[in-house]
Amino acid sequence: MNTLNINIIIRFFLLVLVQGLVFNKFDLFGIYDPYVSVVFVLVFPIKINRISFLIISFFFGLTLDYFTNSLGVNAAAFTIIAFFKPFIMNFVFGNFYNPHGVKMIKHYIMESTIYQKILYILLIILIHHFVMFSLESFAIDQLAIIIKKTIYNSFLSLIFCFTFIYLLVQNER
Amino acid sequence: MQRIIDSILSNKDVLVFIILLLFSLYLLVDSNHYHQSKLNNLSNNFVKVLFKESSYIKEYFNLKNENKKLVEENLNLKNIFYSSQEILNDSILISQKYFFSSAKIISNNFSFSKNYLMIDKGTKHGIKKEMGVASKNGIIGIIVDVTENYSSVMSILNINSKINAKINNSFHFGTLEWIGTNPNILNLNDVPKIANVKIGDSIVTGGMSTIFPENINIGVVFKIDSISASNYYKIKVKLTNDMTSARNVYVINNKHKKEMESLKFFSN
Repeated sequence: MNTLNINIIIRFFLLVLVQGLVFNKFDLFGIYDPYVSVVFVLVFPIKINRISFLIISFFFGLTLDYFTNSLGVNAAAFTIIAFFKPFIMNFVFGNFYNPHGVKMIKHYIMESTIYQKILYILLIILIHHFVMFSLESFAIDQLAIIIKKTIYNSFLSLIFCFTFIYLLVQNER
Repeated sequence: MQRIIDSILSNKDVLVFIILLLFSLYLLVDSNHYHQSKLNNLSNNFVKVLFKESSYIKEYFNLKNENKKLVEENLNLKNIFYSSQEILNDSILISQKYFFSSAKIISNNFSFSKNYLMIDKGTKHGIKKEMGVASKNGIIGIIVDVTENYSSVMSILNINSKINAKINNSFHFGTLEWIGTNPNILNLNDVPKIANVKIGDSIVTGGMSTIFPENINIGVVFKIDSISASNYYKIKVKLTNDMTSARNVYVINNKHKKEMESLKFFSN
């Protein structure tokens, strides 16, 4: 096994445990939690093919669901962001994006401008949170509350994800 | 064929994505009660509207028959009214225990083992859970769920329904149950062998529950099995009410129900 696979396995368990045991009980102002587990998809290596990426993300979400007892909510949200990740990278990084080349996800995160970093992280977080909260409440008439929750939680998640990515990626060899 | 396979293979990412997404949605609905009930409500509301429309049409074709039945019933009631010796006055209304309101069956089922009916009255019309439903020939079932305009009725043709019944003109009672096969035959269990039962005796409601008043017709004894090892008869009852063609029904509201249930040991 090469370092790439080991990295993925370590991140899988680290993020599940950190999210499930620490950040789900963060409760800023009573209801707002940062969802650092999105980092798993944000820094997932590009070289691994898309189908295994989708399946691994699905199981990552499913494992998280066992902590919150809401089977299927996170699984659906993670499958969706895993599917849209290449399109978002193409949109954010423009001609800097090169899926078949030698660039690693580390290069995209370290060598792009600050606006690109924030846009990339924020877009994926917004999609994840919107899907997650709408599946959780499962009612169209609560759309205003869903959007409000999505926006507040996204800012909180953005700060924590940014920190987490620097901690994880900078020390990577 | 080759082209179809090619197009599937070239879009295999999307295919895997859709399969995983559907699977997670299935998990969501299957394992969370909240989501399940939300989805059920949505489809129920849709189906109820369809049922109502189709029952309007069916009603029109049955007008002649229904009229005939109503005339018969009117005659019956007039007979009772004129032959009764009691003097009707206002005080009777005050002490009246059971109130009847009319309703119409808009969907009926007798082919499953757990059958439910739907009637076109709901909370708006004062219907609540656990009220009894009867037609002019006999009992139909018990209300189990109510929405604003409709309610669903657990039919006596449901293997979960248990109704207290007795043999007319005696005080031996038993439990009326359905075994799930013939929609005309019900089983009356737990009648002690000391009771004097003959084929052709009529079976009526027992009045031991808060749901049905005493002496509503159910059916006649059709067959008596006596097992030598048991102290109880197994009686087969033929319904007087044709469950497969019932339409106009009455919902029975027991005004004293709360009071009776507040006595702790009554329901046992």
